[in-house]
Amino acid sequence: MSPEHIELKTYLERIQHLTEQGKIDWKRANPSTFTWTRRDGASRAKLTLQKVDRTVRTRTQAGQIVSKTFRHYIFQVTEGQTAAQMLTVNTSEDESFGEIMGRLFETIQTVISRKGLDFLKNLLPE
Amino acid sequence: MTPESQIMLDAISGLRALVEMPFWQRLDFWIGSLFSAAGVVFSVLAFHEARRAKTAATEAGRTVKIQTITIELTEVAQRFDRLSMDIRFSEARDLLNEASRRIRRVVSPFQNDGSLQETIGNLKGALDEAKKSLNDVRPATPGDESQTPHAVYYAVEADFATINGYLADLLGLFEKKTINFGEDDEP
Repeated sequence: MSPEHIELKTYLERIQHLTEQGKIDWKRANPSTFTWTRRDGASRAKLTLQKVDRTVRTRTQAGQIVSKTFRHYIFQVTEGQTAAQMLTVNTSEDESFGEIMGRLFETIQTVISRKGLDFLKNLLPE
Repeated sequence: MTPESQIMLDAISGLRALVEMPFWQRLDFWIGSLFSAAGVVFSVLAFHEARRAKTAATEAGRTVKIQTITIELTEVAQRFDRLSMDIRFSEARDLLNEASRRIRRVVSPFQNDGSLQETIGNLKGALDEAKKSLNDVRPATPGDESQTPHAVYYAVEADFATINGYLADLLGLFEKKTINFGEDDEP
């Protein structure tokens, strides 16, 4: 594993930790994609995490056709001003990030669901 | 015996000789039979020729139809080939809906054809999977689409490639139906 790999994994774990602490405010852009936009003065940057399921129909040795679903994640870092892609990790090309990205996706989903439930709870009269 | 009686007896004798002679020993019977047999033979030949002409016309019509289908499926495949990374949700939805409609219309008459059944089933399954993948990136609000660069491309790219693979298989099978492989040809 290259030093860049190890460094990136560290950052992803840190993002997951900060998400759990509620310090990163992820938004759901669509059912399978979360984004976080970081505004720091005039500059902006955006993180995107997308889950992609791919189903493939294959024939078994017994002659039956079965569907098998493969899941992978795409993590992108975009520079806000130019919308340039600074970093892209696709776990269909590099499976070593699959586990950490899966955990991060689950964490984001849980935090967003929690936030929604808290919002609903606060709406209700005491 | 009077001369009249003699003439009458001669006429009866001639008639008797004629009646007593078997019909198959008569020339006119064989001439009539020959013409009748020739008529039957020519009728059978004409029937077979008409049937072969009908089969050839049907085959020609089928070949033209299959070529039209091949052209239509190739057009659809080429549209999937030119998938842009910047494709938006609405564009991908329109592309998939149009392709799905065209493919299903073209393949539906062949879905019970033994040699095409499996590929058609796989193709329909891939279209359904692409629809599901596309629904997974339906923007929460219209403005959110610009917030997720290439999300639609990443969601549908693999599914569209799978559809194109099955389309290529189907094109090959359709083309095979228009080609005579001689002794190796399947019935």
